Amino acid sequence: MTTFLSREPIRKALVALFEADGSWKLTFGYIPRGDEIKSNTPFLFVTSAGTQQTMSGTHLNPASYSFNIMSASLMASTDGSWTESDAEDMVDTLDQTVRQIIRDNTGSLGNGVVMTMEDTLSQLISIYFGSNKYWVEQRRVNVSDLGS
Amino acid sequence: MTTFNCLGNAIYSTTRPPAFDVNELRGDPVTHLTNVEFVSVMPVDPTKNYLSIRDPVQAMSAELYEAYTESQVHTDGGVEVDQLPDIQAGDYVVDESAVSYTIRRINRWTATSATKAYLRLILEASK
Repeated sequence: MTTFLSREPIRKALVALFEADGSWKLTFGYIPRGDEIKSNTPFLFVTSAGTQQTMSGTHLNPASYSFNIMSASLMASTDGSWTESDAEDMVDTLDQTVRQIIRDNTGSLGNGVVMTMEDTLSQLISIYFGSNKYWVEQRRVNVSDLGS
Repeated sequence: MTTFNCLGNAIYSTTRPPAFDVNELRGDPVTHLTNVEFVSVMPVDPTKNYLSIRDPVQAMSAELYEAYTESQVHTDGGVEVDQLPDIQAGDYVVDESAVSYTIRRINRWTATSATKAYLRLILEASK
């Protein structure tokens, strides 16, 4: 009998990695509300993005869990102290940080769980949280359960 | 208040986002103005709810509110002043029950022979 893992502890372990780094003012394991963000920037949240599992005959192959790593930087402040140019620089800095954290922690989630980057492609989208507009870089990572 | 003294008024405070720190991080808003009298926050006429932005998750527009305030004695950064309150978009209005509203937009009227300078604030509920 195979016991399936839940994505929940893996998602929370991912959040803990980014929180420990300290490059984001706030981190979440879900999509935060605007009133949770208020004026905080940058912030990061991790959301689940699906599970892949195949079977070969009666053999269950290792599962792969996908997550979105969403790194958000304020687009511009109303007082002009933070500009669109600053946001672009911050997005690039945090992109490097995200990739470095994933690289440095690959294989370290424990219990046969291995984190890998799905590919090198990420995408930038702009999202309002409350009344503030943020540049959000979305990166997909896969976490594989190699089984025990 | 003189101009609005026939309407229901209440005392509010405002908070403002802090400066960015050396690591370019910015935290929660901090107290800026206290003891500011407003014509009480009230819903904007829904037919004029043109500023509203859809919530990406719920796909619903947030309720917008409006409030008015005018030149008056109040506390700005711990100092008592008699002037038009220093309020800007991005600040928060906080009522006596700690309910917070994000200031989305400000319309400013200059003083006339009949009225003091005053502000119309467009607010969004922020919990």
